[in-house]
Amino acid sequence: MKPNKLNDLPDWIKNSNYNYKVNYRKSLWKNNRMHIKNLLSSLAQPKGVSYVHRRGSPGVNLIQLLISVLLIVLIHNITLLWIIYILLLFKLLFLNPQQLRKFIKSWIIGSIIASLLIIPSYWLTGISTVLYFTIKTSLILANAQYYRITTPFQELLTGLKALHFPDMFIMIIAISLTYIRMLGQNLFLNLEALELRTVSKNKHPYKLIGAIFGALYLKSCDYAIELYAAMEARGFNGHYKSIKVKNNNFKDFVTLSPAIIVLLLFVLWRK
Amino acid sequence: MTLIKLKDVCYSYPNTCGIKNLSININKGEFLCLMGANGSGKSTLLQILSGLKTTDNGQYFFKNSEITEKYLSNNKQRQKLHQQIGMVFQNTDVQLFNPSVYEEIAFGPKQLGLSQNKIIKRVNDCLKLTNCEKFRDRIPYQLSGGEKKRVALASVLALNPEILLLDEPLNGLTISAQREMLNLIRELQEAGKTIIMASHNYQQIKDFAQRFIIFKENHTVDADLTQIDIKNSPDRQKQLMNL
Amino acid sequence: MHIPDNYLSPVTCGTLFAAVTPIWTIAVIKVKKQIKKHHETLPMIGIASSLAFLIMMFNLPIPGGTTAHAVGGTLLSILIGPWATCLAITVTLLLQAFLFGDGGILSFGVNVMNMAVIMPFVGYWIYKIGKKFKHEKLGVILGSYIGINSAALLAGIELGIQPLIAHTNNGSPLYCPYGLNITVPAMLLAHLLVAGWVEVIFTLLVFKFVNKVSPTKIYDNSNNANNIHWIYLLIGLALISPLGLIAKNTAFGEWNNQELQHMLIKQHLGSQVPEGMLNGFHFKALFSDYTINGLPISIGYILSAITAILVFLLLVRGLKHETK
Repeated sequence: MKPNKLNDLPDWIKNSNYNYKVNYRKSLWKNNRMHIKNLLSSLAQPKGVSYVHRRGSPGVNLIQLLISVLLIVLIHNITLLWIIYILLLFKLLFLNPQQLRKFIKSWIIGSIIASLLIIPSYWLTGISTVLYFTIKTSLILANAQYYRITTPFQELLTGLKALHFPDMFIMIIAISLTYIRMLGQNLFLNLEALELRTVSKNKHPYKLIGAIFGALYLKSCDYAIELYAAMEARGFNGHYKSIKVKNNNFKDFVTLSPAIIVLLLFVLWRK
Repeated sequence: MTLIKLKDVCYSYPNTCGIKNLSININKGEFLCLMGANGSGKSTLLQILSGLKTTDNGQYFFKNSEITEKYLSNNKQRQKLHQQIGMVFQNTDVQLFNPSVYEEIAFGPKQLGLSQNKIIKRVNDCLKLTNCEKFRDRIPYQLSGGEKKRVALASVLALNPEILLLDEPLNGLTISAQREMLNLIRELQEAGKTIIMASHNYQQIKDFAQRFIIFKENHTVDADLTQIDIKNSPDRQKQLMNL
Repeated sequence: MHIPDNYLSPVTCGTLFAAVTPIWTIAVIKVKKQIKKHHETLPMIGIASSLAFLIMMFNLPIPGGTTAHAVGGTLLSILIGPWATCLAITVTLLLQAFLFGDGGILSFGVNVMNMAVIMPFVGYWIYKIGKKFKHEKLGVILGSYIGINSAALLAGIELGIQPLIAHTNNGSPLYCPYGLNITVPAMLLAHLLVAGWVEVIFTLLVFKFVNKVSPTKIYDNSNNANNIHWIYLLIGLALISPLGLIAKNTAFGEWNNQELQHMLIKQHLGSQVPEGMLNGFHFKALFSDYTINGLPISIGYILSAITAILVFLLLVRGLKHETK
């Protein structure tokens, strides 16, 4: 850079004229910025996972979730559904109060949304379908949410590994979560920078979508190469060792027992 | 003329504090340098001044209008603010998203409704001022760190803002490139612009900035001194050299 | 397009999960091969899945005041290849289900089939056709539009058949209560009119940028080594085709008039063959029922299969353009 003298500065810099027009339309970027900001903050704070004492090993937890959801979907007997509800409420007693409030709030919202979708079918098939559907959907939602609230991400990965998912999948899942934070942060800062330079009406606002996501992809390509080199330099070879979780059979049994009881009732008790 | 008034401005992040109880006035045409260790609140202050963040409590006045969440939710007011305040980020990578350097610099002026000739002149002038002419057709994100900084500065200059916020603009530049950039910034100040720069390299800027605001590690202001005050105080100089 | 739990019967979920498993297996094998050549493929898939995640979070305003988001399946398959995209979007769906409860647990296989298999592959093949005829951008537009609409159509069908296949004795549906006449139009309209265009805009804009700035970063699979595997697969299938003879009854829908009458009577649907079929078109094929006089029927099956494969390969070869 050659040193410039004062009289080398162009005239337009020396003038301060700020009568440029502005654009009144709502910017599509601002809402997305807020959206992504919320995503990032929810990912950044480890979701206050509450550890329930009598937890089984990760693999067993996952199996228990799958069996429970499968049973709920299969069962059409109202009494059995009621028993499942009671077991669920009993499990909820072990959450701490803050978690419980959060759980109830998102459970109710989720159930209301699900029931809204199904209400039109009242005129097609009658009230019993609507009721059954709402009850079962809210049960499934509750189970899924309970799992989510009480399981840290790492445990999900361990559970998937215990269920013999290929190593590659596990690795991709682990990397993806890190990348979501990283790329999300990058995207957020991009949008902030874009916001600062959006001073009026942009003739081609949608072209920017191509620019921002395209640039994000291209930067990531280069980053991926460097990241892999860094991983290899630290001894990574693509294989995850199964961590032998201390086999606490009692806890596994306690975790699985509600599901097994309901399963037995379902199989043996045919109305 | 006082352009910016900050009264008891505070900002905190979910897990840490950003700034605590900051009250300063900034006049038109000043060259102000924010100094302090990493994480002491310099970037946070610049983001509040640019309107990207709003103060938790306390007040921020720009030309006698209070900048609040409500003020910024009005498109017209927000865009007017962005026309007058330009910011160069610390991480210039995120600031560059156009397919070529030329288009990056032209991005701002195109929105202002200028004629095609004026836009071309502005872009060429900015390219010349920041010495980016040789890579005008290259892709910004593939440039080196120093080149990116120059392109970012050029793209902000093209909007001709009244106030320039620069977050550690000298990072990653060679010593001679730093000197040239500081010369350019000083000329811009002499042409009437207000410069607020965050830096932790006192040695480089001690002869350029006229006023220094020093942040403590607990995110409050340690001192607000002029260039001469610091030069007369060897202790201060020692403190700043060791940042 | 994420289908939650309880809308699909376990049979549907299980079937589609079973259908997706071999595709995952092939994808893992193919990607492992790709990794040997390009080490960075593995983190690239992770990046692709987080990109898909962010794309699905990004809302574009549409006329009417609401917003819609793209899925990015076709875009990613153009950029990193369809097999890698299949794995990437599977992971995205898993993360969405775990982090946000978007999409169900049992219906995971169904969602993967719709968004990680149908959409990328259909989109990619149409794009490749467009590329071959030197109309890349048209290929991108059609690929992304048809890709997302095929996925939507499939989702609509999956939902709509539930009342038919799973209901109580008195006819009330156990899972999704809306029939085909509601689900298919609803899904298709929403995607043909709105979501499809959002997808097209997104895919086209990002493709144009990447193509202009760095065309080498677009997936290019022009080596024909992989075709050899397909031929082995086809020959293998041809050899086992006589297995069909084990089934005693004629396949569904392939009855002649007498068999049709018999089936109708059995199902209490009528006792006459429809008039149009009585006096309609009777085609006498060269080797009807795959039989050749004097040869065991299984040889007839195998010969017919091999002939069909050869005719097909010749057709494909004849239509190929000269490669440089």
